Amino acid sequence: MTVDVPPEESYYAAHQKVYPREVDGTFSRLRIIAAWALLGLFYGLPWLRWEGRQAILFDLPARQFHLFGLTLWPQDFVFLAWLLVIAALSLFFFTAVAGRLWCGYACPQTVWTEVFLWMERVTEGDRSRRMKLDASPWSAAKLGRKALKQTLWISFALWTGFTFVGFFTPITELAARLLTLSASGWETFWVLFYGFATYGNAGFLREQVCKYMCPYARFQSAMFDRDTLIISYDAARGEPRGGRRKGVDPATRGLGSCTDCTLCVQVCPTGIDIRNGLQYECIACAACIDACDSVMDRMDYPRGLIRYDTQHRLEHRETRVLRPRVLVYGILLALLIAGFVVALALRKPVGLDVLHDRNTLYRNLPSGEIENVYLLKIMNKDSRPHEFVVTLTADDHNEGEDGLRHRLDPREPRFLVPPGEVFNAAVRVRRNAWNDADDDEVDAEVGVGAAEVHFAITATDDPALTARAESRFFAPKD
Amino acid sequence: MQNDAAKPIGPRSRRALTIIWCAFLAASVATMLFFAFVDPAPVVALLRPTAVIPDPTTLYSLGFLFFFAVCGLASALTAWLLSP
Repeated sequence: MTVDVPPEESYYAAHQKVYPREVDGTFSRLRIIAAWALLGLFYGLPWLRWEGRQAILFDLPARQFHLFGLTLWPQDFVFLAWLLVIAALSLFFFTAVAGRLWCGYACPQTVWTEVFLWMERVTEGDRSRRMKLDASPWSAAKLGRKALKQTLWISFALWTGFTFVGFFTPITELAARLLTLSASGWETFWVLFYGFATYGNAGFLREQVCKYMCPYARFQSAMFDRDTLIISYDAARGEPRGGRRKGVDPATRGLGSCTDCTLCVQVCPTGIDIRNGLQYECIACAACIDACDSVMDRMDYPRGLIRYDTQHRLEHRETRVLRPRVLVYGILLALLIAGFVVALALRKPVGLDVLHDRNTLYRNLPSGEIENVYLLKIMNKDSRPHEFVVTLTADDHNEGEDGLRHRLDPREPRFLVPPGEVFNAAVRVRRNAWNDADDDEVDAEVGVGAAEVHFAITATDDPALTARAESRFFAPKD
Repeated sequence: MQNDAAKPIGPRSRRALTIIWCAFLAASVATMLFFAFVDPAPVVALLRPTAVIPDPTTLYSLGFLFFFAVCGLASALTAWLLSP
């Protein structure tokens, strides 16, 4: 760590505004396709309906996550965590194989920045016009263009915020409430919050998020090796760089293929010069490849002076795709995905919790029997309604009539539970008065006899749909 | 307005934004973990008679903002103590 750096300013170099130049080519088209697909998913998915409700809804008040036909509950949190681990490992895997694919094509920061840049281009013109506009004094025309850009940006940001909240609250109702200005304070707050974040990140911060704020940008190099695909400038072929006219054989001038046109620098959204080698600022968007290829075409040189390639190939050595790092990531990823699918398939779509009645410990019935009341919370996590029958199971001592000391009243209560709901059912359990033959413990705190009682629920239409839970039965100890 | 073009964001604001951003990431994780295990419904039921906090959305929102504030504090302190 260096000590002799000036305070405050030391962390960051002075920032120059980057004016990325528009570029056309294979990779920019791929990037546009990716952006359309991802934005389409983001803005479209909340409007999709599935079995009468929003297909993807993170219903926080009800504590249910709806993913098409699947309903996840807080108890299924492990699945969400598991999914996040899979996502992280996929990121590692793809980074090891092909570098920062994520940054260049899929990262929301990149995708939204592209949209905001496009809006900037539409309102303020291409790169040189934008630079001139920014340098020019304020005029009606400048104000008009800037105002138009801000209007587009702000509307798009607000729509983004609205969509984001639409993943958490039914979007059609949210739209109706926002249009009639009757949305709740928090809904409005989160729409503005997320809209503001979008505006700030994609409109102003842009590449600075990748450079200074993104943790992935800092550690992604740990997943790289000399066989990873990176955006690379073929210095051996390009240098020495220099201007020349078309048709002149560069060899006669002692030049390489690079015409030093600096297009690769102008198109770079992070404002770096790829010819200086791999830099952590590079988000691998491949804009420089497209720019350079267009120049190579014009000069009748072969394409690929800047290209996706590996360090090994640039050094004219073998590149291995299957190497320990890739295999380990790949196998781990495959195992995790397989495990996830199996666990999800085996997941029991029914749950049972039993609470003893809080107000009354027990009741003495005229018949001499003792009665306890329980609250059963029957959770139907399935997408269909089911009728459940409650029984007591013989996990405890099998004595008394028909093998059980405890019995339900009525004998086999049935409850119809709608899909995705928790049904609260009160059931009564009875037993004969306590006698000395019972070897149950005495509960020291309440000074009464207590015995375990085991509940089971089974769907009448599907015997495999079953869950168990236990509670305690209290009775006076003579 | 030349400055507007040359330097949209100064190092100080960038520092502040980095602190806010790290706090946001950590708060998101904390909120998710916390509310996966804690159901605010009983709290809502408890407070309902007083009409102070009427719905779970408020508690989720306040929960997130609380974590955001605490993480922001940690984040800011770290940045401050590590600054030369």
